[in-house]
Amino acid sequence: MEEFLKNLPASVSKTELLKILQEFQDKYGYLDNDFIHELSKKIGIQPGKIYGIASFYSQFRFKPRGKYIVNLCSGVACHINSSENLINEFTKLTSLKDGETSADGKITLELVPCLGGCANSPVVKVNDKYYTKVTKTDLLKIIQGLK
Amino acid sequence: MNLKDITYNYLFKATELSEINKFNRDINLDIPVVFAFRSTCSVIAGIDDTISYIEKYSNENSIKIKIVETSCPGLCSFDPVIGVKIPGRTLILLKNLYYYEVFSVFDSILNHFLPDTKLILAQIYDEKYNSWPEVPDFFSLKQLKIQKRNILKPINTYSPISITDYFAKNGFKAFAKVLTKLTPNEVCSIIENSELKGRGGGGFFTGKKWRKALENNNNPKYFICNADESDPGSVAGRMLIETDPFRLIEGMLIGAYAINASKAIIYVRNTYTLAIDRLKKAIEQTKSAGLFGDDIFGSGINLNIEIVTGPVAYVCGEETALISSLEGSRGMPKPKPPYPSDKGFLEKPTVVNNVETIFNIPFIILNGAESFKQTGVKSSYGTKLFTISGKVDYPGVYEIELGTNIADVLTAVCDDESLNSIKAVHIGGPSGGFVHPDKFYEKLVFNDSKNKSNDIWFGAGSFVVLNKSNCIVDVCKYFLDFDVNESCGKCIPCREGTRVLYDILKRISERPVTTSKHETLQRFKGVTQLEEIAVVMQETSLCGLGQNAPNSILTGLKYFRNEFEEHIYEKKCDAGVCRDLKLYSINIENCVGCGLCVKRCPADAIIGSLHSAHFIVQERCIKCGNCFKICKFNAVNII
Repeated sequence: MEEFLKNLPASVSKTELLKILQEFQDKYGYLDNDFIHELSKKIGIQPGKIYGIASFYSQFRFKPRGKYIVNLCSGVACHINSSENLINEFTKLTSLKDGETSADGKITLELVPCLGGCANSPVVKVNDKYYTKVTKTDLLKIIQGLK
Repeated sequence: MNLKDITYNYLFKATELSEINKFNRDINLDIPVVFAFRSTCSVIAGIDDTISYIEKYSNENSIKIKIVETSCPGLCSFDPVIGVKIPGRTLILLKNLYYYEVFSVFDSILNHFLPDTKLILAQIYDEKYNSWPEVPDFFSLKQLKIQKRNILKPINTYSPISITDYFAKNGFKAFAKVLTKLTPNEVCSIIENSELKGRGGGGFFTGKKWRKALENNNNPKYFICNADESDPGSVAGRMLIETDPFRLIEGMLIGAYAINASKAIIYVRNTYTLAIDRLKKAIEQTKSAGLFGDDIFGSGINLNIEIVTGPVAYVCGEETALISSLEGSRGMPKPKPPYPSDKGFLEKPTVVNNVETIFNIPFIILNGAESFKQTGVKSSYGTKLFTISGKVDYPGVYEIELGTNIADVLTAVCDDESLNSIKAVHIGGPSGGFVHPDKFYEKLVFNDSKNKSNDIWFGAGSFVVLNKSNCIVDVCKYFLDFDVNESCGKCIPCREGTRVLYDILKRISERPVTTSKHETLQRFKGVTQLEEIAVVMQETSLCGLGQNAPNSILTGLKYFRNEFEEHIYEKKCDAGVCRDLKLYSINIENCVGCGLCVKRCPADAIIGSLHSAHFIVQERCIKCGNCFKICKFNAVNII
């Protein structure tokens, strides 16, 4: 983290704040509390302000995420093809809700507004792999495969 | 010759294209060529596996096959689509070609035999080659016939990330025309004359926006492309970028020139990985071709393009919110006026245009405003992209000429069976509304705020078809839940209004736990309050998100009022979607008291001793339906 802060240019304008946060998250997976404080000292924006801006956008995370990130699509096409049943089923099987990570740090559930695979809805994405026209039985298999 | 010289010769010296072709397309037609129509939607459907199996096939059988990666034809139900051109034969398109079919399909097709008919989509006729017997022409498919493809090519055999391939499609000719023959003033006039309207939802005249920014002398100015498409159910912008990133760049260069801007910014949603990747490659090539940078081809014009990835917030689709986000703040909208064309990014004049709007620009410049106005109907010229999904047989991205009626579109995307069960169409995503079958013969045109009789609002062009298994109240609830999550919280009507509306809908889609007066009152409030709150929100919200959030409810109440009333008074959901409205009870005459349901009930809601009739305690029941499924004596009833 220190290295990341060192590499930042001496003066940072506010317009570049989001870009810095994105770069940090890409590298370390989430926005660490210490990082926000250190960044604040460096660029002279209050930590609360930085947190306020970051928490507005759904891209930024403040907790470490699991090895497998499961995206259940809750877009409109998936919704009318009963994605809600899948979401309930997932919660039943893993007792995880939106944004939560399992205790062993393996699985994180994140609901997303639309993955854009509306023709093959409902869609489930695990890390970079897509599963299409998912049923409850498929979902069980997917979860069992996450080892 | 380097790329810069080639570009210069092609654009300004009118070199024949064949000379450039030598540089560019060395597709050898003596060996089989495979066109992989790869975009995000086909990646989701699994085209990457198909491609790797084709490579495997070529290696294992030592057959030379050239694979050309191009972009999707927009017919998502056929994904993954693969085109195969073998020497002497026309290009044949295969649909739903999953990896496990590859070996058998290529075995037959390379030997001039047709594969299984369920995998054949169409062929593209060409007099030069022998056609495949009994394979329909691609352009005669009903999904293609309904469309008027002005900005999407029907089928792309060109690489989306090669600038010379783009030249072969008359690329950058419009920009060259602007640079050499037209002043910014004239460019604005052409766009004004074309009466091009913004495709992002607002429907404001693009030419007027440009003119206002041009007339403002506060430099520097900015030209921004809004590619932050966050509507659920709409992927048209993403598809356009993946198909033709150069066309977006060309349109932006023209726009920036027209308002004398020195910097153009593309604000694209960061989840669009493939689109960003292609856009970055395209920008790099455009730069090395010398089409932007300092002093473009000695014209004295300086222009720069930059990509900014948006960290995902629905409200950033609104132009002032997008500008706030670019400035590094929370993406909250600002009251208008001042409009961005007076005070936008960093307080400077700024034009914000949607991807689809910008895609129309090169065509208008090249062919003139009049030829653009030949498509569409009065006051709604041109075409519009719709992302069609839901209960249809052929979902996808369709480019529809404005003025077409919904019934025609539905006939093209549905087979007869599903056509008959359509209950409604929801157009425009969270800011749009329902269309009743009675209105299917009305034309799709831009909504005129003065003409209230037409309440079809395009939004970003999502087009979701609902049938009898969908509940209108549930769809309204879905969109309001989305709005509650995405409301930025700046103005009260939107922040509180969406929540109150959502609560009312939630209440009427659940069975009341008690019959207490308060509970009953809350349910009945729904009828009286839904409309009232919706109208207040429309009139007082700050930005489009809040103003249009209640559209679904208002149109739902207008056309499907009976469904709302059924939920409220009869506590019944005909479609069976609102699970919480169901009431499970045990018929004592059928119940033998086997105790199976007691064991299955996760909420301990069933009581009764063995061999005597059981009873469900409604206060505890969570409506999971387990008892209904397990009972062998049909003793559990659902009301």
